[in-house]
Amino acid sequence: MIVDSCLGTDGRTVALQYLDGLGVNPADAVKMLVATHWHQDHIRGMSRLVETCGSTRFCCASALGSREFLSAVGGLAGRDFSEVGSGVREIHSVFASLGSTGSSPVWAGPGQRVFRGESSEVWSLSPGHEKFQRFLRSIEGWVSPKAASAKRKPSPDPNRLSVVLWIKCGHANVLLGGDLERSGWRAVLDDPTKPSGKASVFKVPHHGSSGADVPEVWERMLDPEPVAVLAPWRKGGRMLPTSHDVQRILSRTPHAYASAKTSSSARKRPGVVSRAVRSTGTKLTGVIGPPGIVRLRRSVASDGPWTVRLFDPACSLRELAA
Amino acid sequence: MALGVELTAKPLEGSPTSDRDLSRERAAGSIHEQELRSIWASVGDGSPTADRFGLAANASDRRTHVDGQGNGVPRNGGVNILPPPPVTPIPTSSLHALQEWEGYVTRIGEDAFDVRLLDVTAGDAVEREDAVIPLEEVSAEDRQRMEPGSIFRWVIGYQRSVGGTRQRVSQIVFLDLPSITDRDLEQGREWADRLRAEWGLE
Repeated sequence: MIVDSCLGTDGRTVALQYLDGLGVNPADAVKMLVATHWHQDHIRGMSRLVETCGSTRFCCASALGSREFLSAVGGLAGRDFSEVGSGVREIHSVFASLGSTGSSPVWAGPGQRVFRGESSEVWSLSPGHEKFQRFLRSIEGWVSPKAASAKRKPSPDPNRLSVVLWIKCGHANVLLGGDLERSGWRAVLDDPTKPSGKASVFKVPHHGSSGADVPEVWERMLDPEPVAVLAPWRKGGRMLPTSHDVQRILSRTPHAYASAKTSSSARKRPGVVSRAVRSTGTKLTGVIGPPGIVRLRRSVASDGPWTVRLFDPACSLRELAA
Repeated sequence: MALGVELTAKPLEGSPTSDRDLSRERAAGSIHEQELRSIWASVGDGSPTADRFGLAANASDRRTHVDGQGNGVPRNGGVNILPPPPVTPIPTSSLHALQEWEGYVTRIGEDAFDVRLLDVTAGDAVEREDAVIPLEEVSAEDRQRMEPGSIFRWVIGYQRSVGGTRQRVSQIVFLDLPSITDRDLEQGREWADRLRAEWGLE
């Protein structure tokens, strides 16, 4: 199963590169693709995954199958002309591919089993019905004349619609938190239809931000001191996780890792360009490096610990704090 | 007034410019310049001047036919339509881009705005560079219209005027499109209904 997609600095799909390195054919091995939500940092390259993985099932929030959403995507796709567009073109390509093969998506929602294998099950725990309705209302704004200028869409925050996954594989449970924020987690905690048990691995939601932190999730859904993994994020002067976020997560588990480092230096350019940039008063504040990989492995049959391997520039959260 | 921009990525050929910085960089083989040719539409009907002449010539062709003796005869009641005047190239200034980004606004402050940039010159596939740009770099009109999410092109280069003088320039152009049309929306609804029917959602 591949959950979400991103591109490396060379424009290649990171998940495909990883599988290629293992000598795994994605068309045979991948049983399901999941788009937790349609922020660019989660779906870039997803249409390539859908094409490459052939008859693999595709799973996303049920709201993305609504007539309102699909109409907006169909109407706006031709106008998402920019390379820095918000992903309308990507999601359009995904659905167009699925439409051409007659493959229906698997719709995620609270307490839905979206996959069942020989020794594994995957459940979606969100998004809830209330988030669905808010999302539909927000779509109306996208196709208004004012919203149709050259602006990235969506303006509404699709984190509300993030899919949270619960994976049962042998004796191990894994909780993938997507980008779900606090109010969404309250609904997950209150949902009686979710699978029981506690997870030994937690993909920390929303880059470890405090807005997605709910202590009861750690207490009720996770083993003590689970393996925690997060993907750092930065935009402008803002970075996630903050130093407070890092300390909070490390206070709950020492086994915490980040898929990349947040520090970066400015890009080297010809002197004439650098001088021209400086003369405008512009500050180039840094370059985001290539994504790293945190690999967790464990035998399906045993109850043993997870083996962790970090691929540069992934690092432990302690290192990130330093 | 509309702006059409044609970009041709290629190494600069011919004699080097007089600028010492540029010569040094090019001699080191460290940069490729992009030639950016801007075609400003004429005010009024919005079509480039050369196109207008081209259309006029075609119109003249369409308004005549050949009679039985092979003579060209005007269709419109015997009025002869004069051929268009010879086209004289209009001198224009040119911009040689040294560095080009595409980006979007992430935050607007009092004196500056934050952006996320994709380095077009480096051939990046994804946007991965952040910058803080003074608001004075954009026109007053754009300042009024810009908001988080607005997309722009930023070019740094040299502009050569009609008279041959050269000037270093930084140009930020916000991209704008006509509003979404009823036809776009209708096509979107048709696409949605087709997909939903295939997926058994109707």
